[in-house]
Amino acid sequence: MRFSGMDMKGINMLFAAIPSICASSPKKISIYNEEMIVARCFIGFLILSWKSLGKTFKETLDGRIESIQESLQQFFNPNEVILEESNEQQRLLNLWISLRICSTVKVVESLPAARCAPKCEKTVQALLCRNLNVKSATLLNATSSRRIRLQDDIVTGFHFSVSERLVSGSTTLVEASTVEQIREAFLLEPRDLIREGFIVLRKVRVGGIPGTCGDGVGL
Amino acid sequence: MERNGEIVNNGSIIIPGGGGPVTESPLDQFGIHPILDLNIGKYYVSFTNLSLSMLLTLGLVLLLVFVVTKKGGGKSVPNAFQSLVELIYDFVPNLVNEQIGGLSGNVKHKFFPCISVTFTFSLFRNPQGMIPFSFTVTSHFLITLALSFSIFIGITIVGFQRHGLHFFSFLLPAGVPLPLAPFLVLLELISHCFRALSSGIRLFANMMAGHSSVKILSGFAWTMLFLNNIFYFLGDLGPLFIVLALTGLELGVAISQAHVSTISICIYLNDATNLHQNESFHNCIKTRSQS
Repeated sequence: MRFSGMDMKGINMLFAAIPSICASSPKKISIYNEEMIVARCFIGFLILSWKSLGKTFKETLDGRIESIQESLQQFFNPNEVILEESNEQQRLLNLWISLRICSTVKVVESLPAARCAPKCEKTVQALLCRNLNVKSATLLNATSSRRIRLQDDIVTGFHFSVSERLVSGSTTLVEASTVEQIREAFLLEPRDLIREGFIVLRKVRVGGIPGTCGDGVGL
Repeated sequence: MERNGEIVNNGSIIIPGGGGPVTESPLDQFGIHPILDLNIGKYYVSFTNLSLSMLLTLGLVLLLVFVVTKKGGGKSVPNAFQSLVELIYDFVPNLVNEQIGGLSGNVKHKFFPCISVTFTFSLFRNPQGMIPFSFTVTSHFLITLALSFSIFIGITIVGFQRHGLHFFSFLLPAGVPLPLAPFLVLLELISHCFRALSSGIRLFANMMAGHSSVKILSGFAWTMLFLNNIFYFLGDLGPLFIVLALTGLELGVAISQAHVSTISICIYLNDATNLHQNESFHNCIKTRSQS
């Protein structure tokens, strides 16, 4: 019967453990009490946690080491890194241009009468017009979403700046309602919104807000 | 020696009728025994198991720091071991920067060594107490109280140094009605003084309770093993698993207590330096004074 390396290691440890236990027990080096259970549980927990979390822990440390290595490389050879990046970008640009050319040729070639250029002129024009329409629609959408986001940003910005100023003193019900009014005022078109915002801010600075029983907000 | 029908032998109680040795009190593990008896004049300065335990912790921390900084400093690209030590070291400045506001970086750096030493001591000392046959220093009220009181006194000195007599305004939060002021001053004074006690008690109670419960349950499992009954023998697996789970929990508590005590020091320091004012208020005052 042959044993593998791990088995042999285990058997060796067992043979080492038996005499050590026999030697330590009468000398009261290993005391048999409930501490043995604590010791076994402690070792068991360490082994269990090492098996379950050891890999994650090692990966975290390795990740940190790699990030330090990369940042050091960038620090010592910034030109090389920039050169590599620019080369990569140049390569991508070339690829993109060639793809564009290929796709244009392919589109033209894929048309039913591609070889008779004068005949397919209208089709190509129609295709290009369609592309143009799609792109302009996308642009419009992007513009409107950008506008909404800008509106939100302005509302939040004004809200925070006004509340900061109001909250720095003591907050009363009147001041809270003022903030609400300012918020409501901002739910307008951007142009009106900015105008309204400036008017409100000016009034806040001067010390009065429309519709707040004439209470001034001292700043 | 016989006591109430039980035979007592060398401190351990033996149940008559085949039962194995029953464990001693779970509080015995916290006993302080002299290893080297020393008397200098009237003073008893023995080297005890507590001293040995603290010396071992100190040795371990110094060894760790020495190993990663030998030959005039660590490597630029750390290995896993150095990385671990760096992570522990980096933890404290991040905590100080997050918790203490309204101070420049240089002033914060002055507090860093003290907080770092406290954190490292707790971080290494608490889990080290979980190792079987070792001793838990932080389960002694005297040790934790000495730590918390010295830190409290230090923080109060920092407060007076920074604000002078205006530090007493710490006892009266802004915007309090005048009739309530005497009561609030008294309350604030008590709560401020009890910070010293509370941080000491928190650490001591956590450590003591955890270690005692582990010991009680392991004693229970040990007794069940020697009851010469197959059902008890099989049932012994239950307490064993609970002890295993408790060991994990206790290790977690030991590490989190180091974190908690460090955070509380930072919070107390922040209170002493900023006097009831949060950072936004501080910035607001600054902008007002500038305008």
